[in-house]
Amino acid sequence: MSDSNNTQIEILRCEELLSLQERVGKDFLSDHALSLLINRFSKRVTYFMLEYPYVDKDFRSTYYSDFSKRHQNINRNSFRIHIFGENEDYYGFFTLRNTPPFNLGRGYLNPKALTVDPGHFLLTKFDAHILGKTFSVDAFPWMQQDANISRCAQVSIWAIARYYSERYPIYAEHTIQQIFDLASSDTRKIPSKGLTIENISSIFSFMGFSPEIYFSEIVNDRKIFNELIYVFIESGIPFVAGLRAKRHAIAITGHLKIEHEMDDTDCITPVSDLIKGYFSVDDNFLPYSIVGSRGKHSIGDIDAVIVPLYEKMYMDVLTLLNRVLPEIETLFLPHKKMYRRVFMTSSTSFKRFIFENISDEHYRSYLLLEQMPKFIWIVEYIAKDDYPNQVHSRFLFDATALKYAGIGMMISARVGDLFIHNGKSATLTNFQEPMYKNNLREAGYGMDEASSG
Amino acid sequence: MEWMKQVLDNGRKLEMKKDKRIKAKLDSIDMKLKENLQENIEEERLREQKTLELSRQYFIG
Repeated sequence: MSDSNNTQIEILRCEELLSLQERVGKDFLSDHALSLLINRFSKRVTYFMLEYPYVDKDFRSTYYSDFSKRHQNINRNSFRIHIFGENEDYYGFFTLRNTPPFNLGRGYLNPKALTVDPGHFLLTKFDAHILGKTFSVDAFPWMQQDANISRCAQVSIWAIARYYSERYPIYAEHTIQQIFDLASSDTRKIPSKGLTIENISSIFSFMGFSPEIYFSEIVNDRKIFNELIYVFIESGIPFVAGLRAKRHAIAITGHLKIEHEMDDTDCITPVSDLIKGYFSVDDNFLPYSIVGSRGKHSIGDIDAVIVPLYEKMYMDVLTLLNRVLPEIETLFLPHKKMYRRVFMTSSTSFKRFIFENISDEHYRSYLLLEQMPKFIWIVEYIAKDDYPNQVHSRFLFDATALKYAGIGMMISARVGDLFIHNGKSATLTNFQEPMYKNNLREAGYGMDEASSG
Repeated sequence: MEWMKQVLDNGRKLEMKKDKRIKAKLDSIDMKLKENLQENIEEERLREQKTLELSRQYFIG
């Protein structure tokens, strides 16, 4: 497989990764890049399909901006490696670019293609076209840094931005080069030195997000900071995590399965305390690598969080966690072992959940008719013995509330069989409600469960 | 659209009563949240300033 006057696309089937390297050569698959791939694919994967030449829009963007200016002849074409299982089950693709030793380019890989622990993932659908046929894959975007234009910070932003642009028509697609160009620098930009946290935030702003930054030392409470990490993932919002001691950036994109069986605390416990690790896009490893238990980094390594929020998500989660919830828990909740879930969702998605899951007809209709803002914060309390089947209490807050709005930010609440709204209450006949799942799916977000690889 | 008619009818049937006990609790939380407002605003300003400073200090990637 090489550039020639041949105008035909070449397709080759390949059973093993080592033979893949023989086919493409070390300029396209270095030993370093190969070492990332070895032993990471699950047993579901039965063969790879090589496609050449492939025009990878992200590599081409950097090629025309930088690599084409180098003395060394760098191939502008990429290989695309499709991953298949039995019966043509499609698990996505990754590209190989002529940038050794960091050859692994844009990849959309389904977690089932890899040996990944069970958990919840943020995934979105991508289409791949092979010889006139369309294959679809649910994935979170990933690539390896090229160390010249892209470093881990740019890759993290790119992965999140590509996830959003694929899901939401309001977000434009940005190539890795365009993301690189959005950062300002007082010194030369190539070779890239990475980005400051301010750079990362400002790039998100340029792309139309309303980012917020949290530092662990400013939050000043590691338990709350850990809850913050969980809250955004449960809300369906992937974010850039800074590991400042390691000078590293990754994107957090999901969490491991919740392990409540071992919990022996006897008070209100945030669900984040039951999560041993998070999935990440870390350009040093294949996608869905774990931060936390059995991972390459610990949750404690995360000490900065840059969250690309939607503009109408005004109310700061720290106000809720630090000031509002302690008061509510003291005055409203029974003295009972409870788990706390805090997350944001759209009122559209929440009403769909209400429509499908509430059995008290009067209460259900009342909520469906209630005027709600575009986004709401939801706080669910689940008694330990009922976890994960039944929610004891649920509080709704206006995510668009004015700052210092006081308790006016609370829309309504249900505490056991008591429904509360505007200082009034009603006793419900049937208040069995499941936990709210599939957060923000209707708005295009979604937490999809995948089993072990 | 029978379901819609049912939602509209049922929505009016939930009997919401004034609840002094609940109102007192909500008022108490409201007071707490609005206590020391000026101090809270100043603390927040300091946090924002420190966040800005830290965000410029580290190259990551």
